[in-house]
Amino acid sequence: MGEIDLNFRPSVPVFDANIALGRHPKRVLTSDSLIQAEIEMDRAGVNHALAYSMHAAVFDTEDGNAYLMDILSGNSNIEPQFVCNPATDNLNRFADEIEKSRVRSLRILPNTQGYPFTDWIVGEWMEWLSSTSTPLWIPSTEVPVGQLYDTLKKFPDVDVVLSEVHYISVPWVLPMLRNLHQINIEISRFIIPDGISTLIDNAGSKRILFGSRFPDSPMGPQLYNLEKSILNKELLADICSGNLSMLLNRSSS
Amino acid sequence: MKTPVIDFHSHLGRWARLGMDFKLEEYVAIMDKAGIDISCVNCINFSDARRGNDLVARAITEYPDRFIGVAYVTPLYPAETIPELERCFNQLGFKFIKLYPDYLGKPIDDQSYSGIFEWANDRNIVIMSHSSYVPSHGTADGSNTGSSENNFTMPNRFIPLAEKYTDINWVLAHSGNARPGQKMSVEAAQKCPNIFLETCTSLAEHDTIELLVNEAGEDRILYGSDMPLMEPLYQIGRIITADISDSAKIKILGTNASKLLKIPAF
Repeated sequence: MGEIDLNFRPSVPVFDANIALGRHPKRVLTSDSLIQAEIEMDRAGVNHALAYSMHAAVFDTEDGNAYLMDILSGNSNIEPQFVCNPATDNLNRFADEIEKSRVRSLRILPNTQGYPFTDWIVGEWMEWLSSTSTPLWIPSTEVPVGQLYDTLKKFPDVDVVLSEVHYISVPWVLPMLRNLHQINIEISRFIIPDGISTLIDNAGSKRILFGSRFPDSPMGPQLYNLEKSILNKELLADICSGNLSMLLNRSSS
Repeated sequence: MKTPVIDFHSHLGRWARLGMDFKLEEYVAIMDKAGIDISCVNCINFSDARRGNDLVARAITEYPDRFIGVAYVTPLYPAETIPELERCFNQLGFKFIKLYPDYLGKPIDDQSYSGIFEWANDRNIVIMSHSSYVPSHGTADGSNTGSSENNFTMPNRFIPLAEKYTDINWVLAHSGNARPGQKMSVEAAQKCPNIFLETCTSLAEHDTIELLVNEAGEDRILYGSDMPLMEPLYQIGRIITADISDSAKIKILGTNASKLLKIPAF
């Protein structure tokens, strides 16, 4: 009979690299408050999380980022991540704001926000990200693959976290990880069989970040998968928290 | 702890574009790592359904204690369906039927399936069908990868079928996939005692398992992985880490399937 751990808790510290907070401007989410996120973190054994604003992602960056900071006021377990729109946001003003807010990472959603991920749109921002070692989160469905490769190739010093990589992206994501070493992968949707060892073989363990994509997905299942798939505790701890901490600690923004 | 684990929804056959490229021994090794005792396997890759069913039969021959055969037939070739079902159940020992209307351009309630339904109803055979309703706004961030947007297997289409073919136990694979489909799935299960819900998906929101258990009842939920599309440990993790009782987890992981398929608990 199957050996199943019915009351699983992670055995290493966990820093979730991908949660969204706050209300969606157009519909009701199944979880949209800080308290709901904290309850889920506590239940799943997640110690810290990196959160972006749902409003900033799907509606307006500045308003959404400010909304996020208000939601997180005084919370030390959840770190804010700002969403930027290089096509419309003012870089200098944005840089001031993220310094003031002690934000250490950014997220872009070119498809949702209606611009191409090309150097003539994002070049200035990529240079700034490079100069400040600020990592950039890009959901895999937000940029056509060719554009993603061509633009990142021009800015090899920008650390990128490719997030929410679904199994339909497997044909291109593994070659891209092998070719562009600046790319890290957040694994909330990377749930193919033996997917973690496949990633380690293709990218090494230091470029893999645990993320949940809460509230679209629960926090626990990928942790259960990681714990049962990776026997080396040091490596498990890197993927569950250490790699993300290291990436954020590099940032001087 | 030791508890029976039956994967109600898994596939055989190669589809390397989606990462489905495992030798049988690798497949069994992944089952072992996840703690799966038995996988119910189908092959939906071929319009020549016989070819896919033979592939399943070969796997059972090689691992008779680890696989249960699930017959696939397609209404695109209606003359072949009943003879192939007869072969699958009478000669190959398969236990239930898998249908995948989203591939075929024919909704689950299309007349072309009626012969299959009549045949299964006469024999009290379980039918599992893909079920999905994922409108473009169906996930919290609006993303919609991995599932078609047609409504061929929208869960509420199963209600009249379950009411008409009462001797079929209907299993809605993916429980409708995203939240709008999940809500329809639990409504269908509430209306029809012969509708069961299978859990695997790559689209579900954080509280999906709790929703299914609380609204449809823990006796009507079945664990599935969609292997080798998805990691079975992840899909087991969705059950294990859900905010439900241990007894519900045990039922979902295996004992519900054991009862439904009338195979002895082990």
